[in-house]
This record gives sequence, C-alpha cells and structure tokens, in this order.
Amino acid sequence: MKLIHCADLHLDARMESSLPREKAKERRLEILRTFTRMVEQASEESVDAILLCGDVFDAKTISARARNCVLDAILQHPQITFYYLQGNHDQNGFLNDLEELPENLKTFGPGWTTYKQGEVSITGAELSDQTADRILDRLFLDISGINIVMLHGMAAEYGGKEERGGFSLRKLRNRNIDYLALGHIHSFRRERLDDRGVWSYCGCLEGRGFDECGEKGYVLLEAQDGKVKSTFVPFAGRILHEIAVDISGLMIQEEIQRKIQEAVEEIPRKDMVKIVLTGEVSPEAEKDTVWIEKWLEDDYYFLRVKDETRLAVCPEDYRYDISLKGEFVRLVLAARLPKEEKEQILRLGIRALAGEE
Amino acid sequence: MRIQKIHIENFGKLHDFDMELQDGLNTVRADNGWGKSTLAAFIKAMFYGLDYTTKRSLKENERKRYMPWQGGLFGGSLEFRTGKKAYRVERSFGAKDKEDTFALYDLSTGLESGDYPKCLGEELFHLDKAAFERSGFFAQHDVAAGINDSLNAALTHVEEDAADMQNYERAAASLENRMKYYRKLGNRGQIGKLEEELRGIRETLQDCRNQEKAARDWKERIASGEQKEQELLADIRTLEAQIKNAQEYGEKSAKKAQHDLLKGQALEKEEQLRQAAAALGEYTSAPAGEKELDRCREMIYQTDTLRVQEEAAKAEVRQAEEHMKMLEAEIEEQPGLHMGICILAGFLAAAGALAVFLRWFVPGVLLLTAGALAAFLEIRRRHQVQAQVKVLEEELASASQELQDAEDIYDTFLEKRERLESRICRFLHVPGGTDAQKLESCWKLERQRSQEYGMRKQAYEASRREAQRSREAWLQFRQGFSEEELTAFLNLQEPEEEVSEAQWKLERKRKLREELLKEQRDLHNQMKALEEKAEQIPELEEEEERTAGELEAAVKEHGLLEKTLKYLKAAREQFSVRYLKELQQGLLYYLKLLEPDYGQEPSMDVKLKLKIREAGASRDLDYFSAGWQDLFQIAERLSVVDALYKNEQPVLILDDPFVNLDTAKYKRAMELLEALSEKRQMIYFTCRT
Repeated sequence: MKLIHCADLHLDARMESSLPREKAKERRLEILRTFTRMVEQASEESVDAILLCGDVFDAKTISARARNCVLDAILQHPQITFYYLQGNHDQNGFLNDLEELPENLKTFGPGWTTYKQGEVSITGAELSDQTADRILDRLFLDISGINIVMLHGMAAEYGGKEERGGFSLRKLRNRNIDYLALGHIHSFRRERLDDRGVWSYCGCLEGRGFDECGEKGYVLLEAQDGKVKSTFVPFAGRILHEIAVDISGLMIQEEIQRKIQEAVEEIPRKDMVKIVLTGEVSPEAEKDTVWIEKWLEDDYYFLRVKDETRLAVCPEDYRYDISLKGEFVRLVLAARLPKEEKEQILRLGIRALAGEE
Repeated sequence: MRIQKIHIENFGKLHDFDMELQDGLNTVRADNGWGKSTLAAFIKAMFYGLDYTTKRSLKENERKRYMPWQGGLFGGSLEFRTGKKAYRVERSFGAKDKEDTFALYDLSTGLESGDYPKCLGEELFHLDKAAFERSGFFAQHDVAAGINDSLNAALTHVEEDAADMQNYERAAASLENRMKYYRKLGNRGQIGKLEEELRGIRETLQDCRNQEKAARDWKERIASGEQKEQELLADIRTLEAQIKNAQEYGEKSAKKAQHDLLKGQALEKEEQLRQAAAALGEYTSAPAGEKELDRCREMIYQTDTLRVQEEAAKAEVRQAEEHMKMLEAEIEEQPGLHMGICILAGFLAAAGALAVFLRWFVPGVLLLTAGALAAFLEIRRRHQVQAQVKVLEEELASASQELQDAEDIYDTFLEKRERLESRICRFLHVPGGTDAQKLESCWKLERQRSQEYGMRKQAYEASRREAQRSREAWLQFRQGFSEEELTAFLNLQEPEEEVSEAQWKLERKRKLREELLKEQRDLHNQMKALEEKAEQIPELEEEEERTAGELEAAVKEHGLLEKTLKYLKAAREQFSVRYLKELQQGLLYYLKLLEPDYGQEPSMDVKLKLKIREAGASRDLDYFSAGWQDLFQIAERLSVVDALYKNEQPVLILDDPFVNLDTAKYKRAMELLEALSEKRQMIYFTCRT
C-alpha cells in the first residue's frame, strides 16, 4: 500500500520573496499546480492515500480557483483517499462550505479519529492550545498492524508550550506508532521516534521565500508486511537558493561578477536565487548591486542581490591624508553615527567624489 | 611662464596681427574699439580654446562674438615659454568645436609636441577656464574672484588628490540629484510617490480586509436567510395544501363519508364476528353432533339391557356358589381319622412293643394284635369316607365349573357395560362410574349444549360471511383510489379558515419569499464581490510589503545621501579653511598697497566672497561704489594669484581692470603693477593715457 505524506501547501498565501507582482501571482498558481501535479503522479503510481497534514490553505478567504482545484483533485481521483487534518492556517471554512464531503475525503477533529485502510490505521487529531498535551495521553493504538499518526504543530522534546499547537514527542514514544506524519515545519526532517517508529516533517511542496530554500517535496510511504518505508521525493517546480559570495578585496565590477558567476553556475535557470555579497570591500571598489541584478535577471526566474559587505576603511589610512576625501573620511569616522550608517555614508561620499553617478 | 609672440590670423576685428611681448609689464594702450579685449580673449582662447554654445548672446557666445569680421581663417598662434621649454600653439576655430584645430610645437625641435595633449590651459595653469578667468585673467568690468572646484583644488595645492576637490561640485550635484530623485519640493519624487502608493495600497488593503469581514457577516446572513426561506416555503406548502383541501373538501368529504360508512360497517361486522367467535370460543370443546348423541343414547339403552343380563348372570353365579357351598359343607362333614382309635392303636402297638422288648411276648403280641386290629378297623373306615368324599368332590368340581361359567358370563356383561359406560362418560365428559340416571341427565344436558352450540356456530358463520362481505366492500372501495388520493381524503380536515383568508396569507408569504430570494441573490452577488475583493489580500499584502520596503529603502537612501552631502560639504569647508588664511593675508596686503588709508579689514569666506564691515555691519560688495568694488576685488585677485602660484608665475592678463578707479587709486594700482611685474610677465590693456 502506498501513501503520500504532504503538508504546508499554504495555497493562496502571499509570497515572502519580494517577487514582482506578476511573478508572485504566477508563483501562487504554480504552487497550486504543484499540488495537482502531485495528485496526478499519485494516481499514476497507484498511491492509495494522501495524508494532508495541515495548512493546505493559508488565507481566511480562499480563492474560488484554489477551492475548486483542491475539490476537483479529490473528486477526480476517487481511488485515492485524502486524509485532511487541518492546521493553524486552515481557518477558511473549506470543509464547512462543502454541502457534502466527498466519500474519499476523511477529516479529523479535536479528539483522536482513526480510519482503517487495508492493514494501515490512520489516526489523527487537530491540536489546540488547551488539548495539546492532554490529548497525547489518550492515544491508544493496537500493537498489531501498521499505525500512522497525523499531527500538525511544533514538535518539542518537552512540552512545546511556546508555540500554538506544540506537542511533546516524549509522550508519543512507545505508543505503537510506526510513522508519525507531521506538518508545520517547512523543511523535510526525519528522526527515530522509538524502537518501532519514526517521526517526520515532510516540509512544504514549494518554497515561498528565501527562508524556505532548498529541495521541497513530499514523503512517499510504502506499507508492507507490517512495516512502513518512507522516502523523501523532491517535487518542487522551482527551488530557492541563497548563495553567499565573499567579494573581499575585489575592486572592479568584472571581478565581482566573475566571482558571482562561479558561485551560481550550477543553479538551474528555472530556480530563484538570492545572492548575498559578503566580506570586506574597499570604499573605492566598483560594486553595483543594481547592475548585478540586471545582469543576471534573465538567467533565472528571479534573482535578488543583497549587499551585506562591510566597508574596509582603516582610519589610520586617512589620518594624514591632505585631501577633501581625507577630510570627509575623518569627519564621518568621528561622527556619532552607527557603524553601518558610517560605512554607507563613506561609500556614497567616496563613490560620488570618484565621479560615480 | 612668459608669452613671447602672438600672431592673429583672424579673430574678431583683428586681422593678420602680430605682437611680441617682453618680460615684465607689457602695456597695450589704445583707444576704445582698437581690439584690446579681443586680443585678451585671443590669448585666453589660445590656451583654452573657444567654448561651443548655441547661445545667441554675443557676451555668452565667444565663438560667435570673435568670428572674423572679414572672414578668413579664424585663429592664430602664440609662442610661450614655460620652465625651460618654448612652444608655439596654433589654433583655428570653426563654426562648431568639432571643426577646431589645435597644434603644439616644440620650438627647440620645430616638431609637434605631446607635452600637453588634453587641454593646454588646464595642464599649464592647473586651472580650468572658469578658474583661469577668476584668477590670472582680469577681464574688464569683472574682476571679482570666485571659487570653483578647479580653483579650490589649485588653492589647496594637493596636486595628486586634486581630483576629489575638483570633483566636489560634481559629487555634490550628483548627490543632490539623487536626493531630488527621492524627494522634490511639494512632496514629489520617489518617496512621495511611494508614500502615495503605499497609502493607496493600505487603503485598498484595509478595504479588502473590511470586505473580508463583511463577507463573513454576509455568509451568516445568507445562512439565516436560507433558514427563513425554508420556513416560508414550509408555510407556503401548508397554505397551498390548506387551500387545495378546502377546495376539494366537498367531493372528498363525500368519498370520506362513504369510506367511513363502509369502514364502519366492516368494523361493526368484524366486531359482531369477534363477538360470535367469542361466544363460540366459550366452548372449550365442540359439543357432539346429533348422530353421536343418538349413538350415545343407544349405548345408554344397551347398558340398561346389559345391566339386566348382568343381574341374571349374577343370580346364576350366586346359585352356583350356594351349590358349591353346600357340597363343600358336605365334604367337610365327612369324618376324618378317629384320634382315640389311632392313639389306642398306637398305645397298644407301643405297649406290645414294650412287652416284647421286655420279653413279655404274649401280652406283647396280644397288645400288638389289639393295636393292629384297632388300626385295621380305622383304615377300613377311612377308605369308605374317602370314597364318599371323592364323589362329593367330583360334584363340587362340576358345581365350580358352573360357577366359573356363570361368573364368566357375568364378567362379560359387566365388562361390556363398563366399556359402554366408559365411552358414554367420555362422550358426555363426566367421570367414570357415573350412574345411569345421571348419565341420562348428562346426555340431556349435552344434547341441550349441542343444540346451543349449533345455533352459535350458525350465528358465527353468518357473522363471518357478513364481515367478509363488508370488508370486501370496504376494500373494493379503497381499491378504487390511489394511495395518495386515499391519504388525501382520509386525512381530510375541515378547513381551518376561509379559502380567501388562506389565499391572502399565501400571497403574502409568496411575496415575502420572493423578496427574500431576491435579497439572498443580491447577498450572494455581493458576497461573491466581497470574496473577490478579499482574495486580493495576499497580493495586496505582498504589494504593501514590497512598497513599504521600497519606501523604507528610499527614505534610508535619501537620509544617507543627505548625510553624505552634509559631511561632504562640511569636509569641503573645513578643507577650504586651510588656504583661507593665506588669501585673507594677501587681500589685506594688496589692499594696503592700493589704499593705504583704508582702515577696515574685509573678510573672505571659503567661496571667496568678500564682506566688509562698515557702519557696524558686515556688508556685501554691492553696497560699495564700482571703484571700491574693483579695488577690493583686484586685491583679492592678486592674493588668489599669489596663493595659486608658489613657483613659476603665470602671465597676468589685465583687460583694463582699473577703469573704475579714481586717479589716486589708479596711480597706486599702476605702481603696484609695476612692482608685481618684476616677478611675472603682465599684459595690461588700457585706454587710459
């Protein structure tokens, strides 16, 4: 029996990557498409069930498109059972608005609900602040058969009280769980729960911002002979990359561009890239982040350059410099300003004196 | 530096003009209109060329102003010495600067020189044209010194880093321009635009959020509206049914009446049947029929007969018994063994035996014989009795057989009678052994019961037929209608109210429902529109974040530019102060020479702007007469020239700068020129004699 564990689709959510308006819109559609693509693939590979571990939607109001797409995916694949456990973002009334639940859509409530499919028992509960820890004590699973438990929240070793819906993994040990399917964290993570089972966050299907870099996808579960085998399947249409490029000591734009080029040459063109310039750079160095963005913008779906370089200014170098620049540097360095601001003023002033427009 | 020779091909009104110049002061004294200013301009043009401009004003457009009057080649040459080398510069000018030619020859080799390839004047004097005009070139009516980057750079004598001082204005302009991009007057510029955009986005976003909230309220309203609509629909259905019911009431009530009648009859007959069945049910067993009763009666008669025969048989038995008793008595009366004789015989025998034993043989034999005799007699008697008994016993046996036969007959009758009686008792349900008389009365009772049962059964059968007939009639009536029709007229209720009243109510409810439905449709449409608006929230949030980010970056950048400009200005002023002191001293020095009695000390700022304290206040030069203004400015100019050139002195070109000076001042100025010309070459154009 094959199952797919996925979560945190955040359909209709806003993009966190400062994408231009049109691309943000396009990305939202792409994320929706990735979900339907996953369902189509599941169908082709004869997957029996899809476990949606929360945060399928994001906004309080969901678009008709997202609602219909998800509903159609469910209705068009009656051979797949969809287990939908709502997360902290699923406050949109998707389920409430349905006049009738499709037969292949199974839902959960604040208490434990168990569904049996083949040799697998799928148990889940929607957590809240009040019930998070107490409900775990009430989980009783049959020692025989395969037990999959679905939860949405922050797994903490003890308590997890800091965050809404946090729960303790300790309380889930030795409870006959074979696979603990979790949602809430947007990166794939899998660890051993106890001698019998593992816990795993499948991560999101697509990254929405540069805080969600790297491979994204779902976990394919194969239940056979009383065992569950889990495999992470990268599935995102586009991957987000954050690349730090140290340009210390580089003085001219061509050198900086060459260094950036070396750093990003392995990245596929369809991906989204954030280049972070680091290192200590001379105030006289030619460094034009706007131009770098322009220069690389056609090479990737989206590219952003963030300048986090420090200015290599040594006050000693300017102590005896009889020039306007020397005077300027001395004045700025002596000013009561934050270091970062000083660096920026120095860079601007020196570059302006050097005739940079 | 020294200018040695000038040759003008054509320049303004000057044509084919040559002039040789000496060290020290060269005075060109000519009347107005001779071309002194033209010559001065020519010297400047040889070093700096002529600017190309489309300005029409001759004052501002030197190229146009000095276009040869008589045509011909526009330009000339100038020979000069600087350091240890001598050069000749040849320039010709066209209508546009692209048509200009420039050549520099090394006079020692006669070959073209590449010593000053870019701009001869700037490379030679380290001043741009504007700075040159403000320092070594004293134009007529314009002797004011002025500062620009070039002059500033030259004044600070930081040759190697002169570029940054020279670039100050450009840098400041660039920073200002960039600031203007962000913020212009009247809150224009990028920041204003972004603020406006952000305000707009936030307003729209707030609107969308309000609409999202409204959509949720709308949803609740729609839900409650749907419930109301359902209630109204139910009321309408009820009213419609009521009206229909009222309209069909007459017809249906007749059917109902007939139905009820048939049903009543059927039920009544059923009740009767039930009662008849109950009456019949009182009989735990069905009474016997006439035939059985007759047979029973016959059996009773038979028992009577049998009883008579039985009595006769019984008499026979009694007779046989008596006969037997008599015979038995007779047999009993026959004598048995005579005990006395037996004892005697025994005694005699015993006594004889004892006598023999005692050897008294005779008595003994006698005794034995007497005993045997006695015994013989007794035995013979006994034989006789036994023969008599035997005859009697044979008779007794015969009598016993008779008794047996009589008893058998009696038993047969008895058994028959009892069997019959038993059957009769069973038939009449009375205990066995009931006497004949009682049986008779029982039979009579049974007969009576049988007759009653027959009547009840008859009544029951009649009831059953009646009930069946009634039921069939009822069912047949029902079969004539469908279930719905039946339900309709069976549940017929008397109209609660008048049809017209119900119709009025129905119309009102229908109207209310229509209005509600319309309202619901409107609400749906509005909610759809609201939801569409709400769907824009993520997009608007992104837009807000993006614009707020851009605005923040713009404000930050503007702030940084502002601060950068502020620090750059401060640096420039601080840096300029370095040469200000020297200039100030030079100014006072020359002022003292030109006007020894002047008691005030003019002050100079970093822009070389003079202010003179007069009548208790610092005043601009504009407050002074033209003569005094020129005087102050000439002193400042000379001070600037001193500050600029520490080593090789440039040629000073003075195009009648003292024109406004009064005679005394003019005299002192000329004396000063004389004195200064000892250190440098000077070309002084004047019309004064």
